[in-house]
Amino acid sequence: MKKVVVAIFLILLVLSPRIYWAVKEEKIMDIAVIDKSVAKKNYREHNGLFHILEGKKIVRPDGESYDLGLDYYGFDPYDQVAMDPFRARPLDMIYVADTYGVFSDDLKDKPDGERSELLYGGMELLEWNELMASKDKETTLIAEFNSFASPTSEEMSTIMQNNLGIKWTGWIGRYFTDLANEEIPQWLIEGYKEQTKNDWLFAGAGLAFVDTSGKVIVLDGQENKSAAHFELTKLGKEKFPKVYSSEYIYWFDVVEPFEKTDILATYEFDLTEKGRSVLQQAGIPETFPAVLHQKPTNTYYFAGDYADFDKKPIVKWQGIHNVYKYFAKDVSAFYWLTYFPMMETILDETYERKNGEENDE
Amino acid sequence: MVKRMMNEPKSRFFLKLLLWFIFLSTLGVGGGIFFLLFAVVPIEQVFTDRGWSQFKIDNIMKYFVIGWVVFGFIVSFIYYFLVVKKNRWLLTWLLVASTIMLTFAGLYYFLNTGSGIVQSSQGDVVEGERFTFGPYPEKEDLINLKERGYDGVITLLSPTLPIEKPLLDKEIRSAEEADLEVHALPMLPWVGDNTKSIEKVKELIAQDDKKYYVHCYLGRHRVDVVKQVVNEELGEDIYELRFLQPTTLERGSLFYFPDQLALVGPYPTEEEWFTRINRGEVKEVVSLLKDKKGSEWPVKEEKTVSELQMIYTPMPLTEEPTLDDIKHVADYVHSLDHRVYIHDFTNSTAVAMLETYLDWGTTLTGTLPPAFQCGTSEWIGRKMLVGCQPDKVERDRLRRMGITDFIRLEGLELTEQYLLIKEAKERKSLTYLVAGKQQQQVKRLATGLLYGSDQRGKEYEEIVFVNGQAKKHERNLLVGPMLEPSEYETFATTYGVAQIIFLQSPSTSSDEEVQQVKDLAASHHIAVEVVTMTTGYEEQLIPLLDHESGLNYIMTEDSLTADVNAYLKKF
Repeated sequence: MKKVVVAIFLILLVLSPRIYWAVKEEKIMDIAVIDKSVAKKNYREHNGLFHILEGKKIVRPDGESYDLGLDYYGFDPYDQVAMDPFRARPLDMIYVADTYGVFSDDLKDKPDGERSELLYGGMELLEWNELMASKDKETTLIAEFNSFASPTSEEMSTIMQNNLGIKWTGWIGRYFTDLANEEIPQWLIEGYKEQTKNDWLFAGAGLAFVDTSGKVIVLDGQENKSAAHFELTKLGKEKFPKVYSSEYIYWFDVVEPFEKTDILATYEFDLTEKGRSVLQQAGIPETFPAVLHQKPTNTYYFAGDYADFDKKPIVKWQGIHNVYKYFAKDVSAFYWLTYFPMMETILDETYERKNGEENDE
Repeated sequence: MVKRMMNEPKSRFFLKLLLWFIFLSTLGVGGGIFFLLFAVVPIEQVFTDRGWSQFKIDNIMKYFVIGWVVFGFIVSFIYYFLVVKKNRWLLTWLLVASTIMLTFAGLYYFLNTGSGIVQSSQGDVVEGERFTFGPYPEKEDLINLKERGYDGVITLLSPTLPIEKPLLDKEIRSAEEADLEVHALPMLPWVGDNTKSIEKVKELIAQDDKKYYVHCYLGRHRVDVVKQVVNEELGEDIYELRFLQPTTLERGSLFYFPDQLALVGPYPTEEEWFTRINRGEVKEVVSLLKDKKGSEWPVKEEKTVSELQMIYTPMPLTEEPTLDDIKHVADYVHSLDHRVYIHDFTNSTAVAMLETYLDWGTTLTGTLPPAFQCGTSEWIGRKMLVGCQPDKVERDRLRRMGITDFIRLEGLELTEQYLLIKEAKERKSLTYLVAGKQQQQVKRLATGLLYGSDQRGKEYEEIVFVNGQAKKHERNLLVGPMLEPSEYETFATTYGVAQIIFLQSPSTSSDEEVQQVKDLAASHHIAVEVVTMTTGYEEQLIPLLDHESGLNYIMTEDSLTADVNAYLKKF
């Protein structure tokens, strides 16, 4: 009998995080997620955010949990059509995950990475106005990399940048673990070849930058020795005490803050003298903002594809993310060490503000 | 176990293995069919009814499919180890016979789509103009479809599923006999990638206007995918059809009236008959053209109107119609319950009088504006006259023409002049405006307030705004930049802007700016409306324009005027 009791106790102990999660109170938040780049049924561009919502038990106003395949505005990969557009309603949070859109190449089983016909994408004035009309002072607005880039028009892009308190330099970049592998987009290689009249002979880890004019810069191992290192600033550390610095290894953009915009985190690189010189010539700073924040209007800009996460972790266990962060590496490391705790803080802060509770700050 | 097996005669061992295999496969197929019909389909329907995404449903249904396979293996192992291995031969044969029968029953029901069990799981037939959606059609259904004018069948059955392949083959044969083309676009429920088939569906939608019957097996899941694609591709109307009523035709101004079914204007050109009159949902044309015998126009018109399937009603008026003549036409128009276009050849006296009568219920009469000792007056439609100070005899003459009010505007501030004319307009008073030396200024102001422009908006082209350029869309519609405070007088009051519509873009303007616009307009007695620039804002904008025949100024930030101009072009 004693053994049975001990066994039951142990089982309950092991299951306690799951039980805790099951009984903990749901938090109702109305969040509009914009993701126009859902060409495939993995929903990866907003997948990372939805895991956090699930883990934190944040539910829709109707009490249902957020549905990865339904609760966003963008492209429906099942029917391959645009979903119903967003219509203004009072929101707790707006999350613009991606507006790049869907190109015909994206619909192929194995996209070849070449430029192809745009089927759907870009942000339009009326749609953005719907979102802005839904935002009051308490509503949090978060936009990620590629929210205002092509195919969004220049005029629209400027309006969005003004709302987010940033100015895009026109440069985007990405760290590649191997410049010779298949992950390098064909358009990047073609752009480099056209510009330099040289073949793409890079190998090993490296950093590539492209600007809106098509200019390509590649820093290989002799010029740069690290991925983009996500480093919190002093302000960032105060705001996100649970967030760790980590390596970010996906696309980012180079933006500048408006005067009243705070920089909460930056990207840093381990550049050689040669690398520094190449960036300097291109007008790209060695360190530039990763997370920007306008406190009066509660807007954030993440200069990277942070919610882009293709894993399916089990999150319905209280505190499970603390386990994941010890074992995670590469993309997962950034997700569990940096993005997950940062979004937790922003969601908590938004929830408290919207529900009139006292804000710690 | 292996040792024991080796002790058995070899033939017995293979027989047992065969029996296990038959049991497993027949239970899998036969039981699977009933599991699909009685468990999977209803459960999926429950999920769908709860509004879950297909992604979420697919993820869950995958476990049902996997679960069934696992269940089949577990049961078959139990069968093997507890029944077959123990040499319980009666039970062995009984169970395997049962699953074989189950398979036959399942296949019978599956292949006979008209059977009760299958029908109870089938979705309804949803008929559309070009695409009708439903379950698997039998041969009789296909013949019936052909008779009803269908050109083909789009079948979503997948030949990779063994139980759908015979159905697909049967359908192709039946369709051939019924003379219907078959487009096989295989889709797999829950687990498949249907990209290629969806692309083909889009091609079929775009390429021709043929009529198709779209089906899968039950007409519930895969057809829903196609249904959404068709709806999207054919562009189901989200909004009520709205368009900006034009106010100028080739031969003169076109007038329309809020809450009335009448349009008044000149004789339309051939193109305008189709692009303006027909699009305006006109059902009847009342022609005021004078002499049918002496001119080709009435004959030509009668033919055009007949081609457009409208009613043609000639009601010829003289060059100087009386008030009774106008009343007669107006009474007839008011007796109609459909949209009617009343016209003369140009904006004649008859048109001007009728326009005023339909709008205000009364009108000034006369062809030429009266000339007085102090100078000649000028018409503002047939609603007002503007001129110098008339003497007593002249005032009596004006009263006989219908003038009820005299307003002295000479020497007053522009804002006061604006307010007095605006009040006369609101009272619908046939007014004589005493303007003296300011006759041209008052005429411009009054014309703006009542009609926008009497020069097709040419005068607006000269206006220079501080914040950008304005674009004329109609004689009473300008789209331009935000007005500076001084421009409320130098432009809005001077040109008689009857209504300012501020298109507020929430992403670029604040509530403070809205309030500032309201305050400035109010201080100049100008009506102002704020329309938020969100999706479908024409729903609010167009009725505002429809209700104001005077000059409308649509104001937005300069950076957005190009966007607004492009947007308005759509209507």
